[in-house]
Amino acid sequence: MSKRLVVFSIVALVAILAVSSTAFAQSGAAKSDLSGVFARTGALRTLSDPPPPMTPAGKARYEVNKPSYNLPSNPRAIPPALGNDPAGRCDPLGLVRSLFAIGRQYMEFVETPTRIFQFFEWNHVWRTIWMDGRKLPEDPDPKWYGYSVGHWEGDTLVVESTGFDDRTWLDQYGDPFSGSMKLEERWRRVGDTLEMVLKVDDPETYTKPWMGNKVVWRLQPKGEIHEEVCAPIDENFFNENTRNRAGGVSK
Amino acid sequence: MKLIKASFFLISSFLLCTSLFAHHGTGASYDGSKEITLTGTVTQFVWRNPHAQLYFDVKDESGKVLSWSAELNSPGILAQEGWTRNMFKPGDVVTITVNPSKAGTSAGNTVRSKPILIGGKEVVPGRAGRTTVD
Repeated sequence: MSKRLVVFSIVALVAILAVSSTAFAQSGAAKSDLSGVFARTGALRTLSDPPPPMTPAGKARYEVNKPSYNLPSNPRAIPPALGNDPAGRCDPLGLVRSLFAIGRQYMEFVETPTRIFQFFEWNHVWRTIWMDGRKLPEDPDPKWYGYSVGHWEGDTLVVESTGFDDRTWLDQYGDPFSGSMKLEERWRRVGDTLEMVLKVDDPETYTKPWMGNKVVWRLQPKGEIHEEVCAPIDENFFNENTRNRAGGVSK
Repeated sequence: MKLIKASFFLISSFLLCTSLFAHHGTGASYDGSKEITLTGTVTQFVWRNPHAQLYFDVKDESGKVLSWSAELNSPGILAQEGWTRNMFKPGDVVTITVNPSKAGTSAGNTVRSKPILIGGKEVVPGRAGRTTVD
C-alpha cells in the first residue's frame, strides 16, 4: 500500500473519531433522545416508601406538614380543608413534586444548544437545565425549582440541582426538605420510555441519602401539553364553596 | 377453618376499603363507604381547575331547600371522556350519586361508577375503574 494511502487513512480515521466524539460520550453510547411528550407511570408519587429516617429537624418539619394524601407505609391524610398543603393555595410545588405529577399531566423536554427546558403541564411550569459546562453556584438564592446543571454520561443525562426554596413540600405526602438539599436526576431513553432515577442528598432532613426507585415515563405519541394553570381565583372559589364545606369548615 | 375464612374476608375487605378512599387529596374529605343518590336543580356548573364542581339545590320532604356541591374530576380529565363545559345548565334537574362528606355537610364526591341523569335521562353512563373522583 502506498504511503499516501496509509497517511490518508489515518487522517480520515482521526477525523471520523473526532466527529463522532461529539455525539458519543465517554462510555461510547449515544446520547438519549429526550424528545416527545411523556406521562409518568406508577402509583407512588415520591422517591420510595418509606423515606429514609429523618433528623430531629426533619421530623419537626414533617409534623408541621398536614397532607391529604396517604403514603402507604404511614397514612396520615386529613381533609384538605383541615390541612396546609401548599397546593391548596396555588403556591409553587417545587421540582421534585412536579416530577411526580399524575400520569395524565404530561412532561416534555425541549433542547437548545446551551440548555434543556423541561415543561410540566401540571401548574404550567418549566425549569432550565444548563448544559454549557457551568458549575452549580456556590451560594445561590433559593428558587422554587432550584438551579440545575446537566451533562451526558453515555446515554444518561445526569442533572445536579441545588438552591431550592424550602417553603414547599418534597412530595404530596408532606415529606420535607431543606434549602441545602442536593438533587441528582438520571434520565435515559429505553424504547418508548424515559427512565428516571432520583437521589436526594439532604443531611439536614434525612440521615442518609434518599435513593429513588426507577420511574418510567411513557411516550404519548398524540400527547399535547395543555394549559393547566393553578389560579388563586379558581382555587379560592373551590376552597370556599366545596373543599371547606366538605371538610366541615365554614367559609 | 370458618374463623380463618372469616378473618381472610375481613382483612381483604379492609384492604380493599383502604385502597378506595384517600388516593387523592380530595378523597380524604369524603366517606368512600357510603353512597347517596340525590336529585336536585342545578344552580351552577363550574368547569374549572382544580376540580369541576356541580352545585344544585335539593328539596327535602318538608320543602326545605339545601344547596349541595358535587365534586368532579378536573376539566382536563373530563374532556378526555367527552364532557364539555356546557354539560349542565342552571335549571337542569340532575340525578347524581356521591360519597357524602365525613363532616356530614351538603358536599359529596361524585361516584363515577353510577350514571348521571338530567330530567331522568342518562347523560353520563357509569364508568368502570375508580369509583370516585381521581
